[in-house]
Amino acid sequence: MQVNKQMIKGSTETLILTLLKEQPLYGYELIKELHRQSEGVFNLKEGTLYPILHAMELEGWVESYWMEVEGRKRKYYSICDKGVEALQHKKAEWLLFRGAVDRVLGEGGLT
Amino acid sequence: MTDRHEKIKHYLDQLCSQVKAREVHTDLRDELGNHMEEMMLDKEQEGLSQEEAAAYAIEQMGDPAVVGKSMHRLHRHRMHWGLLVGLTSMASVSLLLIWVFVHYIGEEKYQSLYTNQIVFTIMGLIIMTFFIIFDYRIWRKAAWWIYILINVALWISPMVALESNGLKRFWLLPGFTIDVNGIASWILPLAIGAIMFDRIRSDVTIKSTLTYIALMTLPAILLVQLSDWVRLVLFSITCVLLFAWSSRKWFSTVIGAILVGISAVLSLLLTNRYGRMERFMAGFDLQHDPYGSYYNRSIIEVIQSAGWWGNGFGNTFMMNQINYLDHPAVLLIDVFGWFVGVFFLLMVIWFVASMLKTILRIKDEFGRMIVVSITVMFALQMIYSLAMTTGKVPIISISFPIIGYGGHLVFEYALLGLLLGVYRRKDTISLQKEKRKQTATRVQ
Repeated sequence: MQVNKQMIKGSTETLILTLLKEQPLYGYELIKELHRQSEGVFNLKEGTLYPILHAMELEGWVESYWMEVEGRKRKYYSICDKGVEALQHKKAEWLLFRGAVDRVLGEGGLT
Repeated sequence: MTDRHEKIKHYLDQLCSQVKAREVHTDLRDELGNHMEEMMLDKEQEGLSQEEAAAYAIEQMGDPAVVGKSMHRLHRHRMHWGLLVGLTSMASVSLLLIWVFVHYIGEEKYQSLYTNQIVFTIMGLIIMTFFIIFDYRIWRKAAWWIYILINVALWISPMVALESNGLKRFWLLPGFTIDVNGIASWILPLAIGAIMFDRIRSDVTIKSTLTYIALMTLPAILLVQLSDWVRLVLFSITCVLLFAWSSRKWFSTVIGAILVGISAVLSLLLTNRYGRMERFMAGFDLQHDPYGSYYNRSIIEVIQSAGWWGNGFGNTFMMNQINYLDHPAVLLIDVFGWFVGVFFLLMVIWFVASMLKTILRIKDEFGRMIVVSITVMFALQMIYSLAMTTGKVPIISISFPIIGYGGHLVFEYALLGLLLGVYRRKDTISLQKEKRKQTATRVQ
């Protein structure tokens, strides 16, 4: 089943930050990881990923560094203190939202 | 990478054509290009042909115009509007004060000052625009030459400079004068910082500290020879703060600087030539200062008489014999009162605060060093100028940046331009080289 893009949009930053909290990743790796961990639900378009990553870098949430691996220039992103804070905030926001949605839909949700 | 697939190249060209700041193009090409190539490799392993894989990668990336536009919004040249607002209001106040002085207070011979100040402001704005547009990183390469040039200028200054108020400070050139000592005190910390930057930033050794001190000492000795204590102190404080900030060794730097400062002052006082001792002590006892007390007392009188709403365009100012040119804020309070004086104070605080805030927003380390150095110089002179307005500190030859009358404006506008130029590039500068260097050292 395909999930509505609008629903994914709101949580993309949270997901990216969560992955980067584990380890520094470069863009392509990040997308593959997101795809794998969500079991194919989050099929993020590359064209949306990079503007978000760059915006988070300018915001000071993540830092980037270049590394040459097997002759390829890869730009790795790693999370900063500010990003960890933002992630905590976003997580709390998400839990609140999820709780509210669950309550409205009723325990177990609608099928 | 040179052997990129034609289709990918074309895609990246289309994407980059949307991004106006050219300096980010290489980074974007490297990052997105690599992404698409890795995706192609994966797809080719799954059995797609090269053409099909390229088409797939492009399809995944999405419309190049859309991606390019959102990248353009992120990596644009920026203008520091807050600082510009501060600067505009300070420039307006400066012109207003000169106008008031020329029309209501000054004698006939001062009539040309207003026109002069307008000319200085316009020249300043033109030079400022140049420095905003010009890429500041070029100066790093010129640092040694600038350092040598200014030191030579200081060295020959005793033979060339015009003597005014017992100080050899200005060079009289056809059409204009240059404040060589002033320029030295503003620019040399920047030059020394640029020369030593890499060495003191990564790992401070005794050798690099000594080199920094040596680079500081030469111009310091030249300024001592010129007896320009004010510029010497401004230069030294800026250099010391810059070192502490770059090396992140605040404690030892400040302690070291205080010890050197105290011993320098003591040795000057103990040799006690030219009545230095008296002049120095006067700083602590303004009531009996043989040189400056009259000045300080008349400033205090004027400020006290102004009240909340000022003395209007009366003649109090000239009666008290204060040289307006050196104390624009005193005129402001005299004419418009304490109430406007408070606004003036807030304006100056706003200006310095927006410079300070800039420091945090600059990621390029060299750019941040420029901003720190310029901010320190502006802040020192503005704070002391404000302090002189209260009449409680010794009157010395510091003019109020941007607000005071004179050609120093042009130079200050140029430095603000340099700072705004750093700010302009804060989101477009590529950190590719720098970061690689860091990872390389990390691996070692």
